[in-house]
Amino acid sequence: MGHQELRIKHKAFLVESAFRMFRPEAGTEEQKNYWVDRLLDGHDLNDMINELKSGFLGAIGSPSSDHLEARPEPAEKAELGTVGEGDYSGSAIPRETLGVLRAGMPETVPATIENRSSFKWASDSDQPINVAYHWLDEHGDMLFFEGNRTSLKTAIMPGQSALVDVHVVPPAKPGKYRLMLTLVHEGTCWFEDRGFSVSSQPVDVEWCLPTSTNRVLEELAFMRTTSHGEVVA
Amino acid sequence: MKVLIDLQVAQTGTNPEAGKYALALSKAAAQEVGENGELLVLLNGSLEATIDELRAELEGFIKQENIRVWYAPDGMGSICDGNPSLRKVAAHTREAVIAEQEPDLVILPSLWLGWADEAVISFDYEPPGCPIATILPGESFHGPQKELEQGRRGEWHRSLLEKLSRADFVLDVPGLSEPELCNGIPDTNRVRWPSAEADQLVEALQVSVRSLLGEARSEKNGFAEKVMRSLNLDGVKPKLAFVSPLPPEKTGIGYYSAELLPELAHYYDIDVVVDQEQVSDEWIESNCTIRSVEWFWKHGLEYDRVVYQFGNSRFHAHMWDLIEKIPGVAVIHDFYLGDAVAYREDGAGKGLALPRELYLSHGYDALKPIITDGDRAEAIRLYPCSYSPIREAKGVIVHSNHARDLAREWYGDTVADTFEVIPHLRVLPERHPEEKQAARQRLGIAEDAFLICSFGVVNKSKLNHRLYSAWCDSRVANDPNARIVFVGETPDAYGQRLRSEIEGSSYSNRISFTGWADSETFQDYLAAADVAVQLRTNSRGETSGTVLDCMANGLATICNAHGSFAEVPDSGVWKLEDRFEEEDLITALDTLWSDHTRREQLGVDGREQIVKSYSPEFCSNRYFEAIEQAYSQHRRSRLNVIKTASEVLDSAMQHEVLAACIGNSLPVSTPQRQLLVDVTVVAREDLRTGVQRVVRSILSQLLDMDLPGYRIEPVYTNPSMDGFFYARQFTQEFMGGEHSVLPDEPMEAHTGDIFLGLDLHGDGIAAQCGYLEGLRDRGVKVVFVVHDLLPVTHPHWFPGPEEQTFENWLSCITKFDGAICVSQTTADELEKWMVSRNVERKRPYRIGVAHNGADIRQSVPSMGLPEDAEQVLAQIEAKPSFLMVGTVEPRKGVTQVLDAFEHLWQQGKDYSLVLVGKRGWNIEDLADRLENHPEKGSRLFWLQGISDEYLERTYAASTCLIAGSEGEGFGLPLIEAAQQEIPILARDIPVFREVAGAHAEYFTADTAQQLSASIDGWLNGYKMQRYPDSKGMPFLTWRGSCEKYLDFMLQ
Repeated sequence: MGHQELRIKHKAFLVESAFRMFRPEAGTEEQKNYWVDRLLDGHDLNDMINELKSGFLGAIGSPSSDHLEARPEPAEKAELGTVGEGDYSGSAIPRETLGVLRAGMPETVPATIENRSSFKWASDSDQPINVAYHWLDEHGDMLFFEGNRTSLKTAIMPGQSALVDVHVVPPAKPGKYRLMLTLVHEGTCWFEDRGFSVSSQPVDVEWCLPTSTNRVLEELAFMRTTSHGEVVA
Repeated sequence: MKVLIDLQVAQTGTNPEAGKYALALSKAAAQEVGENGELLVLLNGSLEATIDELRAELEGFIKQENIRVWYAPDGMGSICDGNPSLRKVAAHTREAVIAEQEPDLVILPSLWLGWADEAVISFDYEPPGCPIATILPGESFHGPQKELEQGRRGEWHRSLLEKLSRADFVLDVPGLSEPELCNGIPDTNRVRWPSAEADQLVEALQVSVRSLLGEARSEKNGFAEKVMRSLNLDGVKPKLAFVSPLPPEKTGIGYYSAELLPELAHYYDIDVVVDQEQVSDEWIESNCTIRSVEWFWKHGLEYDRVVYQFGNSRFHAHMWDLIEKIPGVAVIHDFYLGDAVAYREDGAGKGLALPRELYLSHGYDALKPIITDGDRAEAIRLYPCSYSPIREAKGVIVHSNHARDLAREWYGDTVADTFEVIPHLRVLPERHPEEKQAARQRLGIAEDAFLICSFGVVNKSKLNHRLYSAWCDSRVANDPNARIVFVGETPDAYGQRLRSEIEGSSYSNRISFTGWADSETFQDYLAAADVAVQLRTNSRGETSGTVLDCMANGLATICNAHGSFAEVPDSGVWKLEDRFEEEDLITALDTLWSDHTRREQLGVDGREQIVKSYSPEFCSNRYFEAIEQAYSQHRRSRLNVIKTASEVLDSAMQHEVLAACIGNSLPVSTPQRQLLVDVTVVAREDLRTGVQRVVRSILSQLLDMDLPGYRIEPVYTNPSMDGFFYARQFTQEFMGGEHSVLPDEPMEAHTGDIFLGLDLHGDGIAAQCGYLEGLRDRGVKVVFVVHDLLPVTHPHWFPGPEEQTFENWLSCITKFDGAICVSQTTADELEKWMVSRNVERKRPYRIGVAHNGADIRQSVPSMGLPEDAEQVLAQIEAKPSFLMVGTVEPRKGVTQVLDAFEHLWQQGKDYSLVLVGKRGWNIEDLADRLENHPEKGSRLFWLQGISDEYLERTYAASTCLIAGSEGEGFGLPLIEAAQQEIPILARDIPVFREVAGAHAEYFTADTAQQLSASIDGWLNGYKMQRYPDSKGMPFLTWRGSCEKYLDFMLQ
């Protein structure tokens, strides 16, 4: 599944959940598609929920569509200055080769975050900016989109870089993966949708199991290889 | 007597009548076994729905930790439509679990299980080595006769009849058993159940069980012999792999092994396994096949017996990995093995070997020298770190009772009791008078010299400096023909210093050091010497064979009664006290120098003792018995299960789920039970709330305490995974470590462990409820700490979802063994809640009380004062100041108190109000009032997020503590005020009465005016010295509180 497909799937899931919770009696396909498009465009999830609660179900051409035009811009955006497409330039690069991680065990990945945009990146606002990540399979296809957040302890000003210890939880199953570090402007957008440079690094994830389970696996492996006459050291 | 009963028949529901009888039989057996024996019950973990109920049924009859649970592989199914290969693995797993308990009798109430359910009954893979008893079945067990002869079910029935015929005892129960359905079952071993009416059933059961146990007891020794005989492979010597360094490697153990092997060869056909280029012993080269370690990895499991010689040096580094996969008997020459483990890390590429072994063997305490000071040497000196080979071995041999005592001290009775003590063997050399002179000639020692030798590496533990010191003050030193020779290396600074001192003295031409001595040189000095002096201190469980060498050579030997030397027979040596006086050593030297007859006799006596207690025949026979005994038992039987699994399952099925079932049934153990302490929130972030102060304080005490038989393991849970994890990184930092050496890993827990839900995280615990129920079923005691029930008793004080979250948390925690409440008030509330929610319990739920401790200094206090602190404190002290401590939130009564003070200020009263506590939930209006109050900074102070040091100073500057809360779990500020000896004015609520008793004044106030009158009235009384004195208020220290936790959990 590609990146964009996964984004669409993710937004559709949010819309379904919101309708189920706040408007279970409503929700045509047209209305839901409307909200998926709005969220993909960066519309705030909380605003969507409030609008559903207030009775606005969405869809172009609906009686309440002028309600949209009348809606003011979120105050928070004014603080950041004018932010548009391509204005989230920057990068997040791990400082070390990632090597082997353990399935499901939180790890700290030191990374250099560079802000090449025109506005401050900070976590201490109502729509914070946090470091996050995606997990891809070894071929680069998206596997898990919503990585845990790491907040920025200090803001990163335009033109500056910062060293950040990113808290990462590897996938729950062992295998070969790729880790893509990125940033997220909560309720607004993922940085890579707006000009942020992303790349992914290979990671091997090995089992992280209790001692006794690990030991049994080792003993099974030993028994198999001795029965075939190969040396295990 | 140890009796094990398999209660699957009570779990499956296939035959409720049989299940009822089995349960009644268990209770009768428990009473019959009584205090002098032990009853174990075995349950099938796959039938999990029945476990809690059966545990409840057996409550009061047997200890919960005597109920063992084993796990069949997922997807096994029943006999008729399940997976036969998985069933084989399940059968072997179950039998291995039984065998490892080493029962004296196994009772299988019913064999007719498994056809259409997930029970597993067999005794084919690991015969337990004791009698098996079962109940003779009847029609109700297996259906009409005619059905039994057809198809797979008939085949199954016939197999069960065959099993029945192999049982040692068969209980014939009137009304249940129908003998005519089981033609061909011998009558000889039947134990007839006396007929009984229903109301006499218990008595009848007891009679039957008594009879059965009596029969089993008389069979016990016969069974043991039968097992030992079965090990004798029809007169053919078993094939034994002997893993040891051998000559020419420079280790005493190598030479010991070379002496032992010819004797052991009387019993076994021996191959030696070495990690060296060549072996230079004639007998070994001629009589043994020499194998490499690499070869042994491939073929080690083909041997009938394996023996490992473990010692504290690099020569043994490869054995740790070998014994894990190829189990055998471990001969532990040195009880402290830290140097060998360190070599594994530094020289053999086994990263973190030393910290892992320290932690495994001894817990977090043993890591302290490394994580705080980076001092590995100190950790090695203090801790044996020898548990791994002991755990992995099929049996352990040591050479002294002292070594076994050390095992008892460090690892407990259960481990130490399995040790066999076999003295070092000594071949008695032939001695001819001319040998002494011949040896002296070879060594260049004069014929008339009086030669004193001290054998072994020169180091501090050998007290070589004391021999030199005694020599200097002795008469023998005045004899120009008297000499001392230190026969051994001087590898360290101690030896170098002694050598320099002697070389600079007037004795430099009469005292010498040989350095490393090969075997021939060593033997020459034994022959040439007149007296040997072998001293020792700081024994680490090693056994010096050198004293025995001296005795065997008829050499008059002086030693001190330290460590294993204390066990050398008194008559064979001149034995000094362990901490001997120098004059005693001088007396010994002078006497043996001057009294030739006495010296000769001592030598003769020494040789006699060697013949009596250390002869090769005697020792090798003891070795044989110990090895055979070890192999007749069922330690490490998990590997046999693995072998079955690898034979019957293809590799795709040998996955982590299967491994978890086998691992949970037959786990890798630690030497101590675990006390697992949930610190999830604190490990993530210390928000310095009251709850987190409790968590940090109790954890600190637990880590500091010496709790024999238990290790403290802080754990946490991760929302994205199932289960808990060892919080090793957090704990190492919490202990003050600058370097964290061990990573976090998934937690595992087994019967006898305890889980303490110390930290408070409602969502996290509710999410792990199923996991915790699994632990409970497995025999882990699960206990939670309850601070208060305010979110459910006063939900309006908390954010919306909090009430439901808390209800969910309470619903979860009341499924387990009990709760520790921080006050009697909280305990009463919890009981009331359980009644009101009609909480259904199968087993008793215990509720205990442990007040929080109140010694700020012992709760890892935070330090630091802001710049304006002194000015603020001065202002507080300048007027009558009333202090409130705690998070500023609705239930704390701050609004009413502020209103009351505004009333007082309007009346012209010049009092101050000081609030200490962070901003809480839902106080926007109050916070605005406080931030913008005209008295702010003058007579109103709000100190947020201050350190413990600042808090303590604020208490001291204040006149009175106002405890205005409308609801609390405990009321720590009352005790802190009492410690500071400041008076208390508290709202009249039950928990404040409980904590403060008569040491506070109480108020009831529905309005601010009422409260202001109370405050004013109190101050008037204060001025006239009429107020309750908080001094003397009883309170617990954190240590005292922690002891109450432990009393509750370990009951």
